[in-house]
Formats: sequence, structure tokens, C-alpha cells
Amino acid sequence: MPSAPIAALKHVTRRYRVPNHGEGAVHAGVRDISANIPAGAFALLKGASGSGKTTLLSLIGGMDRPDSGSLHVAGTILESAADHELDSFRRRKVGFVFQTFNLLPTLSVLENAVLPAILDRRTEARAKDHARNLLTWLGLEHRLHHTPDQLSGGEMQRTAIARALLNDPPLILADEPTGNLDSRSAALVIDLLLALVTDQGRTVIMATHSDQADAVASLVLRLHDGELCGDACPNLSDS
Amino acid sequence: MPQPFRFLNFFLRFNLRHARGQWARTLAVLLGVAVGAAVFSGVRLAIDASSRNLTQGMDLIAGNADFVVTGQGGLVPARITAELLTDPAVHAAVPVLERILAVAHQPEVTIRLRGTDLILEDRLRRGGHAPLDISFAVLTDLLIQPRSLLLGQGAAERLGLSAGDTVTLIGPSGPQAFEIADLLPPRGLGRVEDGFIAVADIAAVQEFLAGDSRDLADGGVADRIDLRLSPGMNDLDREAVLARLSPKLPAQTSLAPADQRRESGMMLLSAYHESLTLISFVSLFVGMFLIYSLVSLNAAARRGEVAVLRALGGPRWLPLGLFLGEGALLAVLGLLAALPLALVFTPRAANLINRTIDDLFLRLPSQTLHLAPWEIGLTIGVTLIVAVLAALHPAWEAARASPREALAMLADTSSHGQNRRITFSGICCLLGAIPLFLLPAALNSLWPAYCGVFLLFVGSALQTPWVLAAAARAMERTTGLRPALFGPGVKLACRSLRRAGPRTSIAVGALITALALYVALSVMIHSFRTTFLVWVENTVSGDVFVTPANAEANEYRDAISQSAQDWILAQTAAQGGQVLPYRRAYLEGDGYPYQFETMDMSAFSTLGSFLFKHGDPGSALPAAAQGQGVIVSETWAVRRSVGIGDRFQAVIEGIRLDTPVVGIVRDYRTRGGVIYHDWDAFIALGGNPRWEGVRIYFPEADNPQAAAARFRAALAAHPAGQGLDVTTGVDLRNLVTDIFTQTFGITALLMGVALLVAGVGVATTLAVRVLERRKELNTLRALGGSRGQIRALIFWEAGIIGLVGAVLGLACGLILSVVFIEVINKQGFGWTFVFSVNWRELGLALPGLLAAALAAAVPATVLALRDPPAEALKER
Repeated sequence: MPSAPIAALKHVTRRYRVPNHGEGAVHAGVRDISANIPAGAFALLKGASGSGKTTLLSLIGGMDRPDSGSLHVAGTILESAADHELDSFRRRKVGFVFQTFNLLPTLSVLENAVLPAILDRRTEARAKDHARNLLTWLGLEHRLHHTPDQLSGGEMQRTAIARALLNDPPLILADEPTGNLDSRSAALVIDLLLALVTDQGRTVIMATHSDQADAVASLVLRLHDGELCGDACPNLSDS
Repeated sequence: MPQPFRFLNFFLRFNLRHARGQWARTLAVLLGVAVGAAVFSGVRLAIDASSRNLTQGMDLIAGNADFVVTGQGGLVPARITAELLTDPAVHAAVPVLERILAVAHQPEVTIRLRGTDLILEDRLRRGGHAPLDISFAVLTDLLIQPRSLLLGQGAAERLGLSAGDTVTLIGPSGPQAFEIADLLPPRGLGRVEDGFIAVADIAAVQEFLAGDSRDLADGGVADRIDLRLSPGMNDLDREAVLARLSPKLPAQTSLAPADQRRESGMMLLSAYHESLTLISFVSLFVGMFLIYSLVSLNAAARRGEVAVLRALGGPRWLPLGLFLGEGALLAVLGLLAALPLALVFTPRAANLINRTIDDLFLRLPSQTLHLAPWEIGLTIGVTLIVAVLAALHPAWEAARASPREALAMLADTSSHGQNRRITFSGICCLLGAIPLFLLPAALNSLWPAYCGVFLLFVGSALQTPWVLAAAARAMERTTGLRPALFGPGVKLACRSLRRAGPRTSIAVGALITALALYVALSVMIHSFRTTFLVWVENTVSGDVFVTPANAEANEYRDAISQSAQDWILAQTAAQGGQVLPYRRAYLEGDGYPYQFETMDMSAFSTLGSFLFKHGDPGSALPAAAQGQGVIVSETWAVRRSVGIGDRFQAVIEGIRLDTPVVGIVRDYRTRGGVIYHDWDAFIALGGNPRWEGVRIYFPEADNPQAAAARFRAALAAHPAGQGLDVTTGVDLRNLVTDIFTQTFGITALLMGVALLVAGVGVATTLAVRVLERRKELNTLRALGGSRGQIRALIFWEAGIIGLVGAVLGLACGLILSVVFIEVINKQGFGWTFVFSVNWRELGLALPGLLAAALAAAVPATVLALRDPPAEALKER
């Protein structure tokens, strides 16, 4: 029996104004997207640069609102949620892993990992214990008090994964998480993300244009010019 | 393409296009620079106008005179003119008797009445300044008709008079009508006091002013005799003439170069001008921090681009030139933007400065603004230098980076080592300032102290990095005890500020500098005011003050008539009061003008009191009362480095004085200083016992103020009161205090402007910090940080920056206030005051400053929340 969807998208459209091209100039980030992503899936959003992967990820993550259509993600109706509900959604229901890691340079590895708990006004001491466990699991126990400028790219991304997991969210969103990593680190990160699905039962949605994770993905959504294209998509390597 | 054009071409593409993309912050910095440049140029132009008006006015009055014979505080017998003319080197010798007089029924209009030898005056002025150029018929009228004069066009227009009309002037003995023989054309002498001048034959003026006719015998008297030497004389010839003529003059007169008075006036004004220049420069200096902040931000943000340029073969000087050029361009654009601001600001500044000079220093002949190319050039030069200096460090940093280093560099790396270097440099600046503050007394120049002030500003600003880090650490620890209460914003703000780069820290220097100036001037003004009020109450004692009309403007040359003296004595006795007559002579010595005042020291010590700075009042007053010494003002003593026991030596009205200084007292009435000598002792030496002013006391009256008002009304109604100024002590003290308050108008204005520019600086700094950390802030939003938490973070940053600025500004300001009081005021103006801090006022300023810092954070919060959190996903 298929799992209930953790993310249900119906006719989702998001347009952006094109800067310096007059009032009416818009380009569609994504257009009329409808899809269900089951809980516990390792889903890939694939497409060339500018195809709308990041836009769709930001909509699913409650970082942006659609112009039309509806998004139900982890029990939250995102298109009608108030700002504070979206804040809470991002804190508790999703964890983000960015391509450029987005660690705060002024905070240590441990403090970066514990950041979601601080934002959620939770007890820092308990959150730190949890963060230590996560960082140890990720092989960063010797880097707890280092700052991001003292880490390698793979270590930075593992710190970002620890941060994404701290509040125990059911959904992990990863935007090109291997884009800035060497092949060995990239493989390690994909293994970790896969472990979140297989060992911990979380859902991972990963935007990527590489084929590295194709073999382990349970679902692949292909995008072209902001639309889902399925098998009709042009070959990525061609584009 | 030649190298400079290639550079320009590159500059336009690399820097200008980038600036266009960041128009808001560029505009904010331009505004700061423009205000600074406008204030600096406005004040300099106003200063130039006052100096120019003073010198031109004096030159117009003096004509082409080379030397002047004066009476050492008294008058000059006019008969010696003839003797002087017998010397072949003397081309013209003109006796001059001048008074500033009110017009009857229009006391607000005053006219300078100049009594002169009309023929010799014309001779004096020919060949240089415009001659009198009056027709023979008018000249005859003026010589034959004793009550006729030439009236300047300014006065004629104001009074609606023309040739043939009469004008009534109030002299020391009462009103006198004069027939206007003709109008003086607006050139040469006719331009003096903007045409508010009247010229008459000296005999007519002698008769009008003589009152009791005691000075009319033997050719009468003059204030001075202006001498013009024959053409073609060099300095050696002039010195020879000076040596030859001096012994021929009567004992009570002296011969001196004509420009000596102008020079002493300028010397008196120089400290005031210099201090205004300093304060106005602070606004420009604060603008320098803004330029530093912007250029260093651009240099840091574009380090990657610089690296690419270098990797493509660009020379090391290229980034240096580009960022220095950016600083210079900001200065040029700021100067252009300053033009309209300067047009509005300059006349107001000139008005305030002229009023202060008029009230405090000396009568300014006119208040005309001139567009002085030198001053405009100075502003342009100073602004450019300041801007290039501000851009030097970031430009050098950009040029230093090798292509590999710059490309590999991560954003916002640790600045710990750099901070240590900055702190050390700051300590060096602070230590370097100390000897500069001690130098003025030795060198007799304020410029070392001014340099020290700027080293103090820079040194304090350079302490910001570690103080900011320490404050953030302390704040993080304190608020960390109750995280639920303070929220995550404070922790993140503290973390960010602990590792804030020197750019952010030094930008706080703008705030520190402006606040330090505010604190220092506030403390100085409060100290001054506190001491001044005590001085007014004690030394400006008396229930009624009577002087000849416009006595101050006429340098107390007139006496109160015998009939008025008799009336005053009788009326005062009838009311059980006491009189304290005094004389004032205006003298010059050691390059400064000063006053010599004689009064009954014994009576004064019971009716009023001096505020002693040095010397024992218990012994000094009796000694002075017995003529065994003089009491001198602090200003006189400081300007001449005189102490207790040193001797005062001068020749006054032919009386040679050589007497010890027995006391040094505070005095804020004169800028050049005053010598107090006992009345009876001076009379005993042969001094003239005439009253040039009198203080009247009613110590026994139940209500001295009412008694004073009655006395004043009675004297005003009596014929003896004509030609006299009668003021109650209360009114005079209020007037003196009001003038004192007004004189700080320009200071308060400049202080406000500096704070305004600093406010722009804080707002820009915070906005720049947000722009720099846009990705971090968006990440926080993406991780679920609410808008409120982001706002709190920025407001905490603003609060901590404001607090650090306030603490360092307060510390720097308190040090600076001591420097202002004990070094700059003492050396520049010759006076000091009791150090007194109005903690309440400063305490109120602190929350105000924090509120302003928080208000300055509002644009930054708007900027921070403008983008959706999805921006965090963008790769850049």
C-alpha cells in the first residue's frame, strides 16, 4: 500500500518579475505543478539550471508562496498559512541543506548545529546534547568548536545536515547538496541522506542536476522550463 | 589610449557601475560628506567674512595711514598735528575724533560720527583709498557752519534724509541737531559701517563732545592722529621716521604702526576662528568615517573581482588607484551636493559668528559675505585629502592581496590579529596626543592641541574593535543566563559583533567622534556657565550702572558730565546708597588689547567681590586698595605668562606705572584682559578723576531692585540723564547672561550637525552590515527564524553599537572637555573655568542616543526583511 503523501502539490504556479524589463515582464519559476511525494521517499527534483528546481523546493519548504495552486506539506496548508505559521513550519517540519552550506561564520560547528533550537526558543543545553550526538554520528566530534572557515567542504555540509536534523523534522529539503563537493564527499553526503530515509523513516527531497543519486531515489520528478515533464523531458546531459 | 585615460575608462566601468547599483548607501555617504563639507566651507566663509570685514572696515577708517599717534588710554592734543606736519617725511597728519552715537528718537540706529580735518583727510586718502572728493562749496559750508556734516548713504536711506535736512545725534551731553551739507558717496570713507557714518570738521565734533568744554583749549583733543608718510619709503625709512618722531611727541602719547590695532584685533579673534574651524572640521572628519566604511565595504565585497583583475595581469597599483579614486569621487560628488547646503548654511553661520564677535570681541564694521576663492579652494582641498586618506587603508588592503589569496579567501574571516594591531595603533595615537596637549603653553600656539584632539578621536575610534568584542561577550554572557527572556536575537547579535571586522568597528568611530564632541562641548559650556554665573553675581555687582551712551563702542572715551555726577551723588545719598565711580582705558600691549580700570578697591571689596584664581584675597585686596599692587584678570595674566609678584608696567595718560601683581582673578568681560587699579592711588599719581562710569549700590534698601528702578526712572526723566545709558544691575546681568547663551548658538549648531552626520553613519553602518550578511539573515529565516527575531537581532546590534559608541564617546568626551577647558580655552582665550559636569543632562542624553541608534536601525530591518527567505537558496 503506498504511503500517504507528505507533500501534495496541486496546480502550483509561481511567477517572478524580471528586473529592469518593465512592470509586466514576468517569468514563470514553476507552472501548474501537480505532484504527490509520499512520506519516507527519497525524491529527486531533476532538471537543468533554471528549470525551476530551487523554486519548487522553496515553495515546498515554506520559504515562498505560490501565486496559485495549493501545497499541503507535513500537515500544513502552506498557501494560506500566516507568516508565523510558516516560520514555525520551517523550524519544526522541515530541515534545509543548502548547496553553499550557509553556515553562520561567527558560530562554531556545535552552535551552528544548535541554531534551529535557539530559534525555536528551546533549552540550549539539551539541544546541545542532541547536536553533539548528531555531529558524532556524522563524524564531526573532533570539530565541535571549530568555525566554518576551519572546515572542509564535506565537513561543512555534514554540519549543515546536523543542523537540518536537530529539530527532528520529518522532511529534509536539500538543494544541490553535492554541488560544491568533491566526488568522495558527495557520495558520503548522499549516503547520509539515504540513511535518513532508510534508517530514520524521514522523507528527503533533493534538487539536483547530477545523476549521482538516481540509483537510490524512490521518486524522480523531472522539470523543464518550470513544468513537470516526466519522460518527455529532454536529456539533461543535452541541455 | 594614454595611461590616464585607460585608467579613467576602467574606473568608470569598475567603480561607477558598481556605485550605481548601490545607489542608496552611496547616497547616504554622499549626504554625510555633503553636510560635513557644507558646514566646513560655511564656517570658513563666515570666518573669512568676519576677518575681511574687520580688516577692511579698519582700513577704510584708517585710510592710507602708515602710523597713528594715540594717547595711551587717553586723548591726544590736536595741536601736535602741526608739529608733525613740519617733518618732511610726513605727507599728511589728520587728527581724528570719533564716536558711535544714537540718532534721536531712533536709538536702535547708531552712526559713527567722525570729526576730522577735512582738507588733511582728503590728502591722507588720495592715491589709495577713495578721497573725500567734496566740492569747495560743501567744504566751505562744513568749515563755516559748525553744526553741519556729511552723512553716509546707508544712514540717509535708513532715516529717509537727504542733503539740506537735519539729523539729531545723542552725545554725552545730550542731543545736537546737525545740518546735512551733503551725502557721502558709497566709496572710501562712505563705505565705513555700511554708510552709517557722518563726517564733520573736528572742531564741530570737539565742541559737541566736550560737554564741560574742558578739552577745547589749545586746539582741543583727538582720539588719535593718523599719519601718512611721503611716497616711496621703505621699511628702513619708516623705522627711521618712527625713531625720529617718537621723542618729539608729548609724554602721554605714543606712535605706532597703523595696522597694529588691526593686527591685535585679528590676534584676539584668531583663537575663536581656530576653534570654530576645529569644530566645523569635526563634521567633515565624521564624514571621513563614512567614506572609510563604504570604500572598505566595496573593497572587501569585490575582493574576488580584484583578484581576477590581478590574475589577468592588472598591476598592484590598479586596485589601489581604483579605490582611492572612489574615495576622491565621493569627495567631489559630496562637494557638489554641499553647494546648495552651503548656500543655506553659510549666511546663518555668518550671522551667528558675527553676532558673537560683536558681543564678545569687538565691533564689526559690517556683515557682508564674500565668496572667497581661497576658502572655497581650502574646502575642496581638505575634503579631497580627507576622502583620499579615508580610502587609503581599504585601497591598500585591496592592493596587498595576491590573486591567489584573494580568490581563496572566505568571507568575513577572523579579524583577531588585525584587531590587535588596530588597538595598538589606537593606544599609540592616544599616547601621542598627550605631549601635543602640553605643547601649546610652550609654543604659544593652539595647533598642536588641535592635532592632539584629532589623535584623541582616532585613538578612541581605534579602541572600538576590542571594546565592541568585549561588550558583545559580556552582553552574551549576561543575557545567556536568561535566554528565554532575551530570545535568540541577542545571542546572534553578540556573536556577530564579537567577530565584527574592523570596518564595522571603525565605522562606530563616527559616532564616538560626534558624541565626544557633544560631551566635551556640553561639559565645557556647563562649566563655563556655572563659573560665569557666579562671576556675574559677584563681580558684575551693583544695583544701577550709569555710563555715557554707547560707552563700550566708544571705548569709554567720554566722561559723565559734572552736572550728571552731582545729580547722581545727591540722589544716591538721598536714598542711602553708595556710588562706585570707575574709569576704563583701552590699551594695547604685547600684541593684545586690554583694559585698565580704576575704582575704589576698598569699597568694591565690601560691595562686590572678585573670584580669585591665584593670590590670597585677604592680602591682595588691602594691598591693591593701598595702591601697592594691581589685581589682574586671568586672561591678561595667561596671555603674558604673568604670575603673582610679577610686575605690571605701562604708561597710561603719561603716568608711568610699575607695580606688582597681587592677585589674579577670573574675568569674562574682556577678551584681552583687564588690570584693576585703585582709584585714589591713580589720582594720587596724577590721574584724571573724571567718571567714565559709575556703579550705584543700595545696600540698605529693603528692596534694592525697586530702589534701582526708581533711580533709573528719575535719572532718565532728568536733563542730567541725557546722553547717558542707565541700566539696572538685574537687567545688565540678564543681558550679559543672554549674550553668553547666544554666543554658544553656533557651537550648538555645529554640535548638532556632527551628531546628524554620525546618525547617518550609524544608519549606513547597520544597513551595510545587513547587506553584507543578507545570506546569513535569509538562512536564519529559512531555518524558521521569525521576522521578529531578525528585527530583534538588528536592534540588539544597533543597541550594542550605540552603547559602545556612547561609552567610548563619553570617555573620549570627558578627556576632551578637560583639554578644551585647561588647554584650548586657557591658551586661546586666556580663561579657565571650574570643571563641572551636568550628569543629569548627560544621563538623559544616553537613552536619547540609544533611541537614535535604534531608530537608525529601522532602515536596516526593512532591508533585512525585504527579501523572501528563499533567497538563501541562491548560490551567491
